[in-house]
Amino acid sequence: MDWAILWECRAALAGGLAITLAVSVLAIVGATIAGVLVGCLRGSGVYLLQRMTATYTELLRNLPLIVKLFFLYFVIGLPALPAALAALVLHQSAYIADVTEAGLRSVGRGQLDAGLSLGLKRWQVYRRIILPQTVRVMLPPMTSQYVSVIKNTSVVALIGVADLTFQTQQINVETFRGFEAATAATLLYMLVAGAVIAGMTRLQRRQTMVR
Amino acid sequence: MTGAVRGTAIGAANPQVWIWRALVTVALIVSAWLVTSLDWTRVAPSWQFLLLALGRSWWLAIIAMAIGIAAAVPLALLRVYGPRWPRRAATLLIEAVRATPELMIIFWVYFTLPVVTGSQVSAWNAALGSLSVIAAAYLAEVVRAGLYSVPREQREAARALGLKPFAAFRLVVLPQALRNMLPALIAQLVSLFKTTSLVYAIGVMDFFRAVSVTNNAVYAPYPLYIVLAAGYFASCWTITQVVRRFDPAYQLLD
Amino acid sequence: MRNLRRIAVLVSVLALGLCGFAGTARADSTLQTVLKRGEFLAGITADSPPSAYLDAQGRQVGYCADVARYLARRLGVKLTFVPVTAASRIPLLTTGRIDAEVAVTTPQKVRNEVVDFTYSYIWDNGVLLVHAGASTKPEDYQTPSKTIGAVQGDGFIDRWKLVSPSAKFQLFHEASDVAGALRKGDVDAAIVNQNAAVLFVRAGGMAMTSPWTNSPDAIMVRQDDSKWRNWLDWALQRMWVEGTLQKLYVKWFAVEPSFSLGDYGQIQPRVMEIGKTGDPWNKLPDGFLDTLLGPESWKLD
Repeated sequence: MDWAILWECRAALAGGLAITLAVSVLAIVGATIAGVLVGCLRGSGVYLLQRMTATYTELLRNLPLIVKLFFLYFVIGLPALPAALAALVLHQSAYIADVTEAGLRSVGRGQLDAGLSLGLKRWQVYRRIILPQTVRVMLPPMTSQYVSVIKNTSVVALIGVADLTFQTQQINVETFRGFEAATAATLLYMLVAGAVIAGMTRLQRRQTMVR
Repeated sequence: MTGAVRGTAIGAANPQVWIWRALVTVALIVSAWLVTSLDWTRVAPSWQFLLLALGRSWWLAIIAMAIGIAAAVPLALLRVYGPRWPRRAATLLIEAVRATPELMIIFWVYFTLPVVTGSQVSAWNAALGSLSVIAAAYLAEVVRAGLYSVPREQREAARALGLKPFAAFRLVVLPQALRNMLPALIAQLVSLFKTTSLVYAIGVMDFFRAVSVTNNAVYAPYPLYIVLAAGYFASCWTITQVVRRFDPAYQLLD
Repeated sequence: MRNLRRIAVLVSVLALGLCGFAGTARADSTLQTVLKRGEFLAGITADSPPSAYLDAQGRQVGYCADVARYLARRLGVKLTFVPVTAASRIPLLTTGRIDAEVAVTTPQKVRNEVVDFTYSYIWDNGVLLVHAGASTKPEDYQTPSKTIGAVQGDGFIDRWKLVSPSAKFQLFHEASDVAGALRKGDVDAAIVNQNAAVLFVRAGGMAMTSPWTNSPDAIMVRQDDSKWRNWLDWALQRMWVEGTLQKLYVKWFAVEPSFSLGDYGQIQPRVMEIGKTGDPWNKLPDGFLDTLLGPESWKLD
């Protein structure tokens, strides 16, 4: 066991961590936007929209992530980083859509009617009453979805993006110290996930306080 | 495609239904035309190899699932009934595995096993080991939820009838818990099956790698990617439909 | 009379001494292990066409596969292919999971520090795979503006850095992914060995530059296992004397070998003297050689 190798390769690990963070953040933002959009469309009650969004989520959820990634990169021909982001966004948005739809459904219809009967306009009801409640309900499952995004970014190593997983392999082929490298990378991934979870928990607490 | 679609009682006379049916028919016709216009002759000789590889992926998922359940039940029991420190250790272990990327777990097990066993393990064993670890961590949560789903009264009633604690658990609580968790277990199997695609990275000849190898031998990406997508989609979707039959309201948030 | 007795004592002492030497048990050579086990565990790769790769039905084929089949038959044991990768071949060898790696590993000093190599049995070159119509001069790709694709851990990478220190690399997990990246233009050139490049060029859409380095490949065995390495060296030389090695070379690489086995291209004298203990050389069954040199040599597995 030669842990000193990690200090020698600190540049590689730091670079990998940076790429992982960047890809994670971009993918989380993209997937949230796409997923919430699809989820709202699905919960809108319009039959056609529901059918189309259901097809979207079914298609994307029954395919593994690397199948989508390789298809976008090798067959469609997107450059590496856009292909990676597109695959991650498509993959996670299907799950986030379900989370959103469940969240919307959990806020009772009565809220909308009560708000309208109080004389508020429709968009005011949504902004002041329904959306805050929906967000609060959705935060826990959304947190686990974000952690999933962070974990899924590791597959971009397979198309040549120099993220943390890629650097683990690189350290292994150059020094044969795969175990040490993998342990370090695993801890770093846990750190990133932990940071996101901590951030989301704080958000949750703030939401509950501002009731 | 069915989903858990509710809220709209829709009649067949509604124009939206007809628009949707028209769209689906057009999509099917276009796909059929695309598929038949491709050159399948170069890919056809490999159909046995690819089918075998698909079976191998399923085999990996099933064995890893079995080992995972065997490991998950003690872990879940520890978390539910265990004393303080073992319970915390079990929680830490489960959360640590769940916070790590699956590809990273696969690499880590592939690099760690030789250190632990003293000799290099085969890619298949490393794949099985890592998939079992992943399965166990996620299944521990499923089992724990299943144990919680059985009302306390059941256990108390069993004890009141004179059954020893372990017998009460084995004969009364566990069967009910298993029945409640069945949809979640099958959902985990589907999720695990999708995860097996990652073991291609350590050289296991699973379905994904088989398609890749065939593509190297006969460069035909379009038919092969269709086969790839169809294989995974058909496998996952049929099993998911079975789950929905059991429990229509089940949300497969894997 | 007294001298005769002295000589007799001397001879017996010497004999006893030699027996004592022979008595010090040395670790079993891999040759003995393989014969005793009745099985030859040959490590081989799956992504090095045409030397060692999988065909469209997933069968192990290639020049190295056929050489391994021949060696196993001469040893009189069963052959088992053990899939290896560039990262796992040395650990698998040093921990005893394979008896030898019969694939495409170039003898390098850093590798020779941990393993040993037989004579080179593939004389390959390093080339660059480029788009059809692009320049075929390796010098044109030594500018910093060109991106070079390669597999992580490829031995060619360090050698290319010597030739072109400012090179920009895009590394991938597998050789097939590098080819895919070249096809879609993410890299300007891919580092491959010439034998594999020929196949890619034949598939269409790509061209290869002239060689920029040589790349001999040899069978890899454990460090300090001279008996096993000797046998493999003799076996390769005997295949050469028979003409089988040249025929296999033509079968897979479509060219006659541009080298000759042995030291400075010379076969060791009396290498065909077979049959001493510790030098198994079984007869080949009828039809074996024909199948081996034919298109369906995998049938021999």
